[in-house]
Amino acid sequence: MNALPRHTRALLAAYPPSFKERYGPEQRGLLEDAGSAGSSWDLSIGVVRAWLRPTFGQRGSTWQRNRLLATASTVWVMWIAAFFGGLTYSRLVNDPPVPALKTGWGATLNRIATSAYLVGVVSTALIVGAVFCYIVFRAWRTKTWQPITIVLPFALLVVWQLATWGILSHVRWSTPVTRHSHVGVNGVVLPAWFVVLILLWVLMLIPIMMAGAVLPIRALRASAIPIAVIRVATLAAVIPVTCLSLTGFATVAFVVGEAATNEVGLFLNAVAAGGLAVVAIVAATSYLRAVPALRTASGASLD
Amino acid sequence: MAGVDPQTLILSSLAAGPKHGYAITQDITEVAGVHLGPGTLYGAIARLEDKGYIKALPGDDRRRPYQLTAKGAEILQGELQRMKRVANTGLGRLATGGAM
Repeated sequence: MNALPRHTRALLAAYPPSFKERYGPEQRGLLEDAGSAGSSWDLSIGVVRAWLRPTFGQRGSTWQRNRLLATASTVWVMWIAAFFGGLTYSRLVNDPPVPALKTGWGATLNRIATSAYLVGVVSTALIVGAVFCYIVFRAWRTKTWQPITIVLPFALLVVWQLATWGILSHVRWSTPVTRHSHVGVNGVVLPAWFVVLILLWVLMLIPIMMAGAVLPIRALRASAIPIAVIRVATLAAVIPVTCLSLTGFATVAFVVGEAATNEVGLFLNAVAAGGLAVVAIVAATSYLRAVPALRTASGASLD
Repeated sequence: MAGVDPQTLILSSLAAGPKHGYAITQDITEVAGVHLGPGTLYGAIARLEDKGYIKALPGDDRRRPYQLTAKGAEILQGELQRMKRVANTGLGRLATGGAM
């Protein structure tokens, strides 16, 4: 039996959770028996395929659970990406406002994108909040704190970010500068620690995004949450998925219209809108794949 | 030129009886001269299990044997018949002087 090299172990770890649970030990066993030489490329392709076309075994409660968990996780990760992508897009088209925003079609599309984005963010927060309230309640009842400890670093990062934002806002608004002043402009120089804190705040968005994409999903999987709860949460996720689709559609339509009027800064706008469209498509596709699992009221009768 | 797809190779291998992953790869290498890597093998096994063409038998977590189902046997039969028709037609045409 051969010990597996680190890169092979990393590739095995990169498979989707449901695949790893089902086939991970067998794949590892095969690699240890047959040797892992030359398998890196094959495993890399396998990882990509497993994520793009997930399988969940034969129909049953395990299938239903894994299918719903996969869709709920995908929608959550796509909303994490859309949250930051939406902020970037908004910054690009609103600061300074591109002229197309003032025209009838541009204003309408921008309103659709903004409204759908806000409804999507709020509904996602409510659904995820409700699920985690349930997980905390369950952890408290069973005295199994593992899911809570998994998600704790993410929660602490969010608290840190909110606290920093509060300090920055307080300093910003209590400093006598005009609304559109920048550091060192209009004869007002903000303190160096303020600038450092802003940079830190922006940089902290990266670990928050990564922790937000990974830890809540790991906590969800570790919580042994009942299928019925996952099903209700996934059913409710139709709202954020629809909002994400609307945001993606409206931003792309806006940029296409913008292209016709040769706006400045179009490239970055197109990249941001394209990114939103891609995450919208991934979320919608994953949701459609979950429809058969959503139709079944309970996994109990399937086995 | 593309060869036979991994799912058909696995079904053909299992037509001889239940096998675990390592035995499947060895059999396929011997019979078809094709080496299936662990990514390709378990990707195909997952898809076949998903469709109900094969099923896992109880066994060691690391060496779980798989068995062809009746549905899988029917699908394999149809696929092999189709391949046979193509092969016979191609060979027949070559024999009647189609090659330059």
